[in-house]
Amino acid sequence: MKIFKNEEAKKNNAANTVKDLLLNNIIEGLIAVDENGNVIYSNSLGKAIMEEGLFGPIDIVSHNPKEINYNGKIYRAKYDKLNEESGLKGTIATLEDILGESMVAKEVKELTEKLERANSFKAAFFANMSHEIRTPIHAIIGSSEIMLKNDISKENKEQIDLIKDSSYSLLAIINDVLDLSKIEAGKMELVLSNYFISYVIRDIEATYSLLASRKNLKFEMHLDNNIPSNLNGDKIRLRGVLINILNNAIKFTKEGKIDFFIRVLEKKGGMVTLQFEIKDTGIGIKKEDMERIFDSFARFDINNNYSVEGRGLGLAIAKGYIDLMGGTIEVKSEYGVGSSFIVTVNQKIVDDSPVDMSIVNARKNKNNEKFTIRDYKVLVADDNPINLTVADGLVKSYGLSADKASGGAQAINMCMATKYDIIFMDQMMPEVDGIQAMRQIRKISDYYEKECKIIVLTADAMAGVRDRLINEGFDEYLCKPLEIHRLEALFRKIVPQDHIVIEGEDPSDDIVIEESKAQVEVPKEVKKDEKEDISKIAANLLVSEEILERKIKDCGGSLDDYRAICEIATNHAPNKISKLRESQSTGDYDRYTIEVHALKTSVASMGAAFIADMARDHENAGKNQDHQYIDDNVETLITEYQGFIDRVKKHVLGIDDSEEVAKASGSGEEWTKEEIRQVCIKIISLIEEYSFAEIFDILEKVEKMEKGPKTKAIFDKLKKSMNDMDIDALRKQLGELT
Amino acid sequence: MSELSSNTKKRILIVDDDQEILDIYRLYLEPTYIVATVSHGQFAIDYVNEYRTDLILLDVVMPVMDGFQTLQALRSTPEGAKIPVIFVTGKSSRNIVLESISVGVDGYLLKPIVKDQLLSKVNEMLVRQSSVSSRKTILAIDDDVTYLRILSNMLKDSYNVVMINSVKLAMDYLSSFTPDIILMDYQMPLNSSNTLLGYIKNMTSLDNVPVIMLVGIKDKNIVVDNLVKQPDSYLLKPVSKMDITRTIVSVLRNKQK
Repeated sequence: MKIFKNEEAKKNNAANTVKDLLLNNIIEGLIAVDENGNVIYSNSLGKAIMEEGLFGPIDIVSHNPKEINYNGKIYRAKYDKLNEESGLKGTIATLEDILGESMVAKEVKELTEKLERANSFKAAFFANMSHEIRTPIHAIIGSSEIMLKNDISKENKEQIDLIKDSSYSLLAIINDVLDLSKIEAGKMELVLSNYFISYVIRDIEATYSLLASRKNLKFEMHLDNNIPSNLNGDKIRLRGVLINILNNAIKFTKEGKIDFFIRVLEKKGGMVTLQFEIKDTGIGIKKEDMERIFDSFARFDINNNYSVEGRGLGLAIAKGYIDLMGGTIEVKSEYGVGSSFIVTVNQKIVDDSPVDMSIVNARKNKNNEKFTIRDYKVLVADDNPINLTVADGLVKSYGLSADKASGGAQAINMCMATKYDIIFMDQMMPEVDGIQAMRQIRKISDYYEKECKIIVLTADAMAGVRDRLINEGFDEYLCKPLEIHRLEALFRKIVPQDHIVIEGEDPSDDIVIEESKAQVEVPKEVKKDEKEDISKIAANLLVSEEILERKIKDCGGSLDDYRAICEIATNHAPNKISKLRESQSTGDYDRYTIEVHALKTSVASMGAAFIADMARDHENAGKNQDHQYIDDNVETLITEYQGFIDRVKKHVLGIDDSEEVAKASGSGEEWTKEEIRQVCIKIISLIEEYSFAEIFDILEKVEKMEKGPKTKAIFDKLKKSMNDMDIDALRKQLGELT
Repeated sequence: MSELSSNTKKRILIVDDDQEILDIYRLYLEPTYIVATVSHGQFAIDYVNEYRTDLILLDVVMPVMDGFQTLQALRSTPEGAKIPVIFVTGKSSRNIVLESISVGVDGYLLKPIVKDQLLSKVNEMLVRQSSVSSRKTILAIDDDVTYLRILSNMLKDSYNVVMINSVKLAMDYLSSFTPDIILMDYQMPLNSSNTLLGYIKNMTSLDNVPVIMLVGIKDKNIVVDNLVKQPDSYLLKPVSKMDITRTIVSVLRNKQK
């Protein structure tokens, strides 16, 4: 009980009361002792704890780190020295409620668990739902395409095109979202395979130099000269990442240039560390935005970048993939100046021989300008007439015409009569081969020894071959089959400037940006109206459509060029086969090897990779003196080759089997009962043997023959049953006719 | 019958009463093949009985014994039954074609003889024949006839393909014949593929016949669990000629071990 002596005392007391109120209501317990261990103050909590005997001055003096259980809470003692300036000496103990802390921690833990569950549910949901989400969109796209193939009005076509394009956009968005979810759920897997990095480089170079030039930007590639040519890794995703960053560079740069660097940082233990840097002079990234640059759905600087399209997922996905590859992706940027994205990854080395830079460097300098060459004499020497035609076609597109020699000896003769500026010499030829011919030609004159350029054509693409051939005396080498971009690079390198006439840019080059993951690179687009025919032909020839497109490009670019090649090939086919048979049956395996080598080139140029592989096996067997292999497999090779030639004749050249009689129109003479019966008997016997393929053949033969309407009706009915392979119905019909 | 060895030249028998034409044949064919010529149908039958013949070029219009009669006689001999025969005729009438369909001619050429066509046709026949005896038979089962024909087309150069589009037909076939390999599509109505697999499993004659299952990507995971007998191999549709051929070769090789 307090006795108020005077006003001051009253005031003091009031102040003390407030103080006490405060000190008694904090959650900590406070106890102060002097240097002798006497309690000089304690708040109500401290008092209560001490009264329970749970804590005391002795603990305080000895700084006992005690934990006290009181009133359902746990307190920990904390000790501080009293501020000596105040005149007091001693220690103050603060008893802190640690359960309160742990309560918070517990709550945090619970919340985190909830969040993680929610996240993983979302991720699993997306990963599993992806099929359900994509299927309806595919259906929309598919239906749109079917409708576009039908006869519809122009108005409708426009609308359906819109539907189709929108569906593709939607699909792209969904794919991005699903990919990101999959990555976040930890369910994304890399697809590893061996690949040639030169294709990636070439593709990027072609695409972005064009896109950059359209915005009046410069695009330059800088490649180290020791990049391994064949690597193992996830080529598609790596390419996707680079394309993503490059697209951003183009999008966000209004003027200036974009540089693309590929550096080899290190080669160790069969792995190469590659660094890709994409540097632009674009709008840059603000400092405060840098942290979130790889976040999903983040878009920055909306005011300045309002017109730039995008969903903001690209970099997040890119980072996801690079993380999966164990690489790093970093960005440096200065707002208003430009940005630099650096991707560093490790890839396994499959072939360390360096990437052939000539393709890239040549294009780099001239940036897609078309040119023709004048006053330049070309000689092509090859024992294979198809190759001669192909080469002629190729050089024609540069305004040149090639003289042709079908063997080494002829080439030498022609060189003695004419001064050629450049000679393309096939390495493998019978009698006088490429190397011998070149040596003889060099001996003709000083000019031929020192100035004439002789280029060897070889199918051997192994490392070291180039050096060896150049040592022999060739100026350069080109791989067979001859590809137009390599020829162009060679011309740019070798033909003197004063013979080159540059034309304007070709506006019909149409290269498309892909943000999705396309599988195979085709250097240039094939003519649009021929694309459908090419699909059909590829399907009928049983070859890959992509390979076929490339081959067509290689022999001139249009289907007619391809047909010309095929015509020659098919004309020579029986001869080739005879030669193969002859050389094998007389045991002349050296001859056989040369013939099968020619066959390999021939089918490869038409796109029949399967048969080319087979022929290569034979060629290798011949070289290794494995005669048994050749004997065992020569008929199989001939069978496959013949089958392919037949298909080419039918589907590419449109040659129908010559013995078949007049077309079926149902307007001719009716057949006699006996005639119909004979065919039916044959069909019945084929049914017994289950030779259904032959029944189809017979019915087709009959269809092409002249007959009256009643006869036609009879056979049409049979054909219908056969098309459904309803054998019971067929038997019944045949029974009635016999 | 003696083994056909790839090391020896192929032997072609030409039957025609016109000497001049026989000379032309010799001119075109002799460098590559062994050529025998006779001017009468009966001599052809005698020859075939004595010498191994790989191909016969048979003129249709001949005195005494014409092409059809010769062919019928030939087909009734053990040696002559399997030799490929090409009819050579100056006219192309319906009669000839019909007769040839029923009588069993393998191809025909029109006169006058064109060298390229001759070589091409001869080659085609020889190619077909040489592989027939050693060819394996593939039983292809799918309810989709169009796809069956595509498969047949892909494989007919190297294999003998039997197309089957229903369980009933398959069972009919299997009760009389045994294929070397079975190619089956998983997606068939009424779960037929499972039924068939069960049937195949129970036939001891088919113990050594490998089964390759064609599945679509969606089916792949379900298939393994649902099937009563596990196929020897799977192929994902759409299937390329290379994939299917490789799989067939490797599956057959494994079965031989």
